[in-house]
Amino acid sequence: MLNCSQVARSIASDEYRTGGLLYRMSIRLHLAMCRQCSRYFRQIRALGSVLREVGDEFPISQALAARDRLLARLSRKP
Amino acid sequence: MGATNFSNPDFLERVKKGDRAALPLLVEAVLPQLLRAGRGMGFSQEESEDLAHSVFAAFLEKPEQFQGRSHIRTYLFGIFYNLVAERYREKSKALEHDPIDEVMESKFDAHGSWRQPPADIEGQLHAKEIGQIIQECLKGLSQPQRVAFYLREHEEWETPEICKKLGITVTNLGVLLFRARNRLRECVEKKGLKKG
Ligand SMILES: [Zn+2]
Repeated sequence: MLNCSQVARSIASDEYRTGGLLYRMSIRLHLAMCRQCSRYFRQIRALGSVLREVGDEFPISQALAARDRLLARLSRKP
Repeated sequence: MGATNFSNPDFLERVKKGDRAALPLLVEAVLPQLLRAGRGMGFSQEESEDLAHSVFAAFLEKPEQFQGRSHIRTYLFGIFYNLVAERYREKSKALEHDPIDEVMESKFDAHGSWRQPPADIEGQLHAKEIGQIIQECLKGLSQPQRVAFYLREHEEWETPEICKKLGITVTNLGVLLFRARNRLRECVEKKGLKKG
């Protein structure tokens, strides 16, 4: 039986994604029974979706300035 | 500008021949995405612009290498990821000590049960300011941690793909992700507690 420390490590390191079927089932089983680990699991997953959702604010003026800098640099070297 | 069809054979032909007039269109379309990815992986604005410059310079050196089989954006991002990997291959191979390991160890007792269970941070994670909080917390990660975390969570690459690209083992990727996620989680938790 896996303990909480092992389960937390497995979740955060993605081991549970790459492990075998039996291994993944034992993690699932632990998560179903352990409120603390399932909370941890949800939070780790949520951090990933937050990262996907929050775009890097990139104002158009900044983008245009960067474009001009890059084009100038590229044209310097024929 | 949005009307440019980058898959158009004529346009690609011009780009392949090194037509400099086609270049601004291409830069305008792809540069913001390259910069966003660079910054997402923890590079500064300046470093990101350097990387983007290297991408286009490499492309212009041998435009004929672009066969037109993939989308030109994909092709340029391929060059980009190669440059990133080159720069961070050595760094991510040697895993330095990270105090987050001890922080995590201290959370469990001798039997591996939670001594210090995860606090409820659902509120923070759904707060309006979460974007700002995350950006702030991301600064606490090492560069290899950020690259690994970005490729996994933002680009949603699978483990073998990341390992191959960065030239690291599955175990080392696991360590990078473990530290990245726990550093972030801890940071978000702390920021919530401070607010009360
Ligand atoms: Zn548990």
